[in-house]
Amino acid sequence: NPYAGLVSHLRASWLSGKTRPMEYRVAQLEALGRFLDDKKQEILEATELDMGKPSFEAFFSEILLCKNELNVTLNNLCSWMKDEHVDKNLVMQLDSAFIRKDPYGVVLIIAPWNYPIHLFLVPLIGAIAAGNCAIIKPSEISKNTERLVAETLSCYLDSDCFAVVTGGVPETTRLLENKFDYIFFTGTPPVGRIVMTAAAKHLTPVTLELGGKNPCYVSDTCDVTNVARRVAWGRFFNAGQTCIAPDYLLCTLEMQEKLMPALREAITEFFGPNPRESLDFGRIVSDKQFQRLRALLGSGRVAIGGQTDEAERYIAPTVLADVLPSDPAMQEEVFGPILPIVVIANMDEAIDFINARPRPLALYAFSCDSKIVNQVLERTSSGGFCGNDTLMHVTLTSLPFGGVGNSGLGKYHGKFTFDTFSLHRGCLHRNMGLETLNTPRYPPYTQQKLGLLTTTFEVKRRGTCTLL
Amino acid sequence: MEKMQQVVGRARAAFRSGRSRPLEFRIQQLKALQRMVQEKEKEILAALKADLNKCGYNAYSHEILGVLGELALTIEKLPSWAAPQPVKKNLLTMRDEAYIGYEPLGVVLVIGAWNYPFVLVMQPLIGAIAAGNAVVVKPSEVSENTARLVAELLPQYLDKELYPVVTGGVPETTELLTQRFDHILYTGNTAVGKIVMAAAAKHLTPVTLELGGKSPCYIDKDCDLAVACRRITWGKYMNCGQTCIAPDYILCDPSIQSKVVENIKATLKEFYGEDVKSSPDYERIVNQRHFKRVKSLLEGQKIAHGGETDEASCFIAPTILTDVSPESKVMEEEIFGPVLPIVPVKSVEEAIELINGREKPLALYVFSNNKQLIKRVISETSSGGVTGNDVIMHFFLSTLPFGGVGHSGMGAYHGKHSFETFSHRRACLIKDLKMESANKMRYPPGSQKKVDW
Repeated sequence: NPYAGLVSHLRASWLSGKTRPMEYRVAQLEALGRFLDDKKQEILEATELDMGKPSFEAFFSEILLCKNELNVTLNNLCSWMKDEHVDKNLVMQLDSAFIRKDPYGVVLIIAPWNYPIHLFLVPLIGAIAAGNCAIIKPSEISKNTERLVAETLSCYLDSDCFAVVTGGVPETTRLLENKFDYIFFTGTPPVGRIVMTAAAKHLTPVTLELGGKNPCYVSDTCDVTNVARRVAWGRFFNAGQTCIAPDYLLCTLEMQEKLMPALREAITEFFGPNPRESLDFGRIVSDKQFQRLRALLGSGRVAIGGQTDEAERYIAPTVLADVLPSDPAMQEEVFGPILPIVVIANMDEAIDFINARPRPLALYAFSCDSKIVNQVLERTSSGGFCGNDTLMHVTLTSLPFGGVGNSGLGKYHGKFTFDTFSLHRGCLHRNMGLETLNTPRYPPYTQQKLGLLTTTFEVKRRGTCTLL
Repeated sequence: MEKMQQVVGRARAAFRSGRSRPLEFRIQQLKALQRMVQEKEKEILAALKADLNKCGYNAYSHEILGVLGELALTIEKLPSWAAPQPVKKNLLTMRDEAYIGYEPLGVVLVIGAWNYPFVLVMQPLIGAIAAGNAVVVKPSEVSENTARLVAELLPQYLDKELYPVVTGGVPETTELLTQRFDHILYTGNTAVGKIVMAAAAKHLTPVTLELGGKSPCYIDKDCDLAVACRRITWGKYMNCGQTCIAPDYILCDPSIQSKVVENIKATLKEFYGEDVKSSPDYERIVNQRHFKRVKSLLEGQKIAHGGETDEASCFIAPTILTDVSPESKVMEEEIFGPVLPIVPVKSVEEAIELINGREKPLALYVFSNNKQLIKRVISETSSGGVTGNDVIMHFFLSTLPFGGVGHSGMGAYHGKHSFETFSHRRACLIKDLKMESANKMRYPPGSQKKVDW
């Protein structure tokens, strides 16, 4: 296997204990911070070449949000690493009981192309913070960023413990044949299945950050202007290539009519009368994705946008009205600057529509009436939920970010990343003395001992599981 | 074969009806389980005796008490566990509601094992019900009396559609695993663990795998050997060694090896009397296949104590092997029987190296008066859990997560950890539709001014 040598090299470093001390982890994390600072311009340029990512967006998602995660981690690492003492039962009052946060060992992080720095770096922060070694596999589709990472990351991180592997499907397949102690994958559900199947051969635990169609319900009672802005922002950010973008809108016919001019206005406000000339609107990452998206334009009717340019891989910010559940745009995750609107009669129908489909990564509901927002929340299931806005729930590092069902398993961001990459090891350190207290548990078992056990065990004792 | 699809389909429809979600319903089901355990105690003990020759005391203390404790804890704490958990907000979200909501996953599959056949289906079941799920229970067919009893009793006390019991062997379990579940908790061996995870991967189903391995037990020269050996003897030979967290093998300095043997021998006499076979407190190997497997591990070994076997009754005497080589057959796989190899090591470094050269175990034990040495062994090794200066006991503290790592498993449960394992933690941010001005800074057109702010 072409990567066996690399993996065993990292495993040897891991076994040497090098990545364990807090000072080491802090040093590597600070180096990541310097990478972001030093290479900021290169990152903005590479992502622009890869998908026309506007520099404002690139700064926000690839630099600012990453630095936030770094700082949260550096500020809290000491306390996160500490043994967590737990409540004890009666029998163990004189013992020490705690949960240790152990690193797993050598972890693999596979990142996608749409937020190519963020989606390997934020998991990597947690992996390093938890004391692991890591192999990073950036996406070959965002090839400029891939090259940047492959060429420069090693200048910042300890190459004995952290490595970047490049390549496409064949390379990733061979990489996955090796044994890792944890695999963190961000990508599509079909590939998620492949990754988990490969992981099963070695009993490697995984986090899978996948995707799906994120529904966005807009009730009849809402501030149309604000809704339009927030939805347009979330939908057209990165030209729609965002796993948590509002994928499709659900609203009544009346609301669709009201929203259309508001959406038109928001798009013009954001990108000007000709979005193709706006520096703030991205492009589609590849010809393949461009063609896939163009084929979706036949769904419903084009109410806003619809223009495309193949040479530039440009698709205008587009809104499709009167889309049917059977239309192409409703068969797969859109992942592009196209917003289908599916008309429903009322909130109940919207909820039924959502629940008939695989559970999404994100779910959005807009209403001035908080009861409606809460009803949608309570009667559905999704990885995360944001009421009256889009995308924002993932910028709060105290909230776990992850999917459920088809949209993924596991979670990260903030402390959740650290927890993802650490084994929570239950430890009980007992007293060697006081052996007489143990006598009731030893054979030979007498009626007396059984009586003692039963009478002293009180089922209703508060919060303890007592066993003599 | 259609049957599995029907059973799971019914459970899913029952879950979709929403009735397993209200806290009152969950608590009512848990209280019904409490009644079941209390009312049917005799039947449960009889099944355990038939399956494993488990004596009343062991069966009661290992399988019933633990379940009752978990039920009491869960019933009491459920309202607080299930409550939405507000989180720390940042500047931008200061006026919003931000919290983590606990939601059921849907339909959970619990696959039990034969060695503690009652508690190993009940404990996961308790957590899964508490989290609001429907649960398909598949007890091990090897412990057939307990399986039959569980299949009879659960429908008498619990909602029949939400919590069905499926019985059968490998073909039935294979068929069951083709269905889609929202979480699978499997207790058993590493080989089948891989099969379960591969089946789960097809549906992207998260799994908790409680597997096994060889749990090492290091005895330092500086320790109270009499106490250490008594505790080790208890943990090793309970349930005839058929415990996933039993101390599998001992590592110690050659100079104390014979003292260790002497102490264990003395303790064995204390526990089981002169004639172990006639002690009512000593169990049997579960079946012929495992009897033959464990017996074959004795070949070519130095038997310092024990070694007697009786195929007809699946009896294997508590056995100690000395000067065992790390390369021998008995050191290859989990023993899961009353055979205790002692592997001499000249230093704690050698012990740590030996442990780290093997698959990560479910449990790790270290006996020493020297706190620093214990800390060192823990920090330089990896294992699912640890007990220092005793064995098994970390299992009984429900505030500690119980699970493995590497080949010994993934995920954890017990107490609140069960509730969290079987819940989906959903991130919720509820904003105001007003306050739009705060958002302007994030909207295009972008500008350096906005970036600098």
